[in-house]
Amino acid sequence: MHDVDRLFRAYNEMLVRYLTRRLGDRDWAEEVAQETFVRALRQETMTNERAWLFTVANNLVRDEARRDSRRRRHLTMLYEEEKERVVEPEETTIERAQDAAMARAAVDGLAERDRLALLMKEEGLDYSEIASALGMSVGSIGTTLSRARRRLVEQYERLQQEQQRREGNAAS
Amino acid sequence: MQHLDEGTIHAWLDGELPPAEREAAEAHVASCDECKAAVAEARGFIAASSRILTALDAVPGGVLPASTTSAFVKERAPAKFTISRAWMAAAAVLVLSTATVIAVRPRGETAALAAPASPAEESATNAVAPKADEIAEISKKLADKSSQHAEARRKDANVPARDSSSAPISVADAVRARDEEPSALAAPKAAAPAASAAGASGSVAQRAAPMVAQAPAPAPPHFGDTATSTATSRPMALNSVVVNGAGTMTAVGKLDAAMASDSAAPTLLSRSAAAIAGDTVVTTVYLVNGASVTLIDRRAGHSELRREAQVAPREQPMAKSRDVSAPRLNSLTWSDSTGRTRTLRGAVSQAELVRIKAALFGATP
Repeated sequence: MHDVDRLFRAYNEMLVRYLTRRLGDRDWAEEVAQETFVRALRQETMTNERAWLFTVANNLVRDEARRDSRRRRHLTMLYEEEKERVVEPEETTIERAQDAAMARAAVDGLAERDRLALLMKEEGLDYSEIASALGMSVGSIGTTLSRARRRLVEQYERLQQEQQRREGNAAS
Repeated sequence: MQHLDEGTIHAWLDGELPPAEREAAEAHVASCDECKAAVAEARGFIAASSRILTALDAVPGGVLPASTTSAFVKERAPAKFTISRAWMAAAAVLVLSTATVIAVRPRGETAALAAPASPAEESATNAVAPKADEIAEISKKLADKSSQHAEARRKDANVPARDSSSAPISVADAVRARDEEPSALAAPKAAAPAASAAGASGSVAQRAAPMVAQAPAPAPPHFGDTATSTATSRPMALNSVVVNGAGTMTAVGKLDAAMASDSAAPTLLSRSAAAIAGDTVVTTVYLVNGASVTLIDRRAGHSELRREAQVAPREQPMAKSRDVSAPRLNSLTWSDSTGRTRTLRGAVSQAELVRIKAALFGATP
């Protein structure tokens, strides 16, 4: 049996962050992460702990999304409603909200594989781990990541330009 | 040399190229301005994408109901309602069953239920929460045994048997029959064998058997013995309780004599006070020319008075041996303006009670 305490201390933070970025919901991300560690309790062997954890987390998210897509939509709606009610410091509210919304839109615009590879790389997984988690060859990860980064940035810049154009129209 | 593709540049910047490929890439970039620009662009994409992804962290937590956020929550949630409903149902069954047993059981059956005489009865009493069918079975056994016992007694007394097919004997019938003929029902208790093999764990009758001298006709103990044998020890009826007669004259005769003479003024024999259910109850016993009349004075609580009347015979064993020709007990109850309730009880007529009341309290107490 693996030392789950050690696994949790070593990987929980990055796993939650990865899932939060992917799902857009920290509570959901934490629950998936916890379930991932519960699954780790039952796992006899792990060749690569980090890759295994991210693979399981991806599968849990995918399975749950398939199982209850309607609830996800409901949660998204709740989240959007709640987000409007969240009171944050005035100097950061607008800027952060705009950044978050554009970042979310840009990330959602990526292909599933590109998005997951990018998010996992951001959490420090190496190419072999990403390849293992996504079922890809190691040699294709560089290309996948380069495409994902470019598209993400381009999408984000486009959204920024649209936002600036709307703000300009509103001002005029 | 061929230019570096974008994937290789990102892999190089990510430190994922093997040493040989990394050295080759470094050498090429150092000598190729186009690839230098591509590497610079890739660095910008890496940094920008990282910053964009960081913006995703600005997600508030704890804003969604935990019960609806994920299926995992449901899996981990304890099944509170299921457990509590089950326990509540079990508790309800237990309470109803106990109440039913108490309501249906003839007086004195407690010992029989606590010490069953047969394995079947033992299994029934061992159940923590008796089921309705078990209760019905026990009740049926009681009725059957009581009817059998009554049948045996009628045969002994040459009494025509009741047609059980047309009028099945219920538990209530058995109890009624027991109440009607307590002395006859007490006979089987005396007939119980003192040294019965099952007596050690048997009924009240079996345990009481050694106390009865010279049992005339040994009979096997059975389940119905308990119900019938305890009839003699159960509280006596109300008309056998309160008035204690003394002397050779009947109570009526004594009271008549007392009333006929002007010396009928009640004489105080004893007075005691007790707190019952928060009320002060004063019990006074008067002697009227040799016969006693009890006055119970309290502010309220007729039910308590009835309960006292049922308990009283244990404190007045003389009442059990009273003359069967003693007159019927009457009582007179009234309330005064202070909220007190008084009950005057004696083996006299209502008119005589009124006269005693007038003697004690005047015409308008």
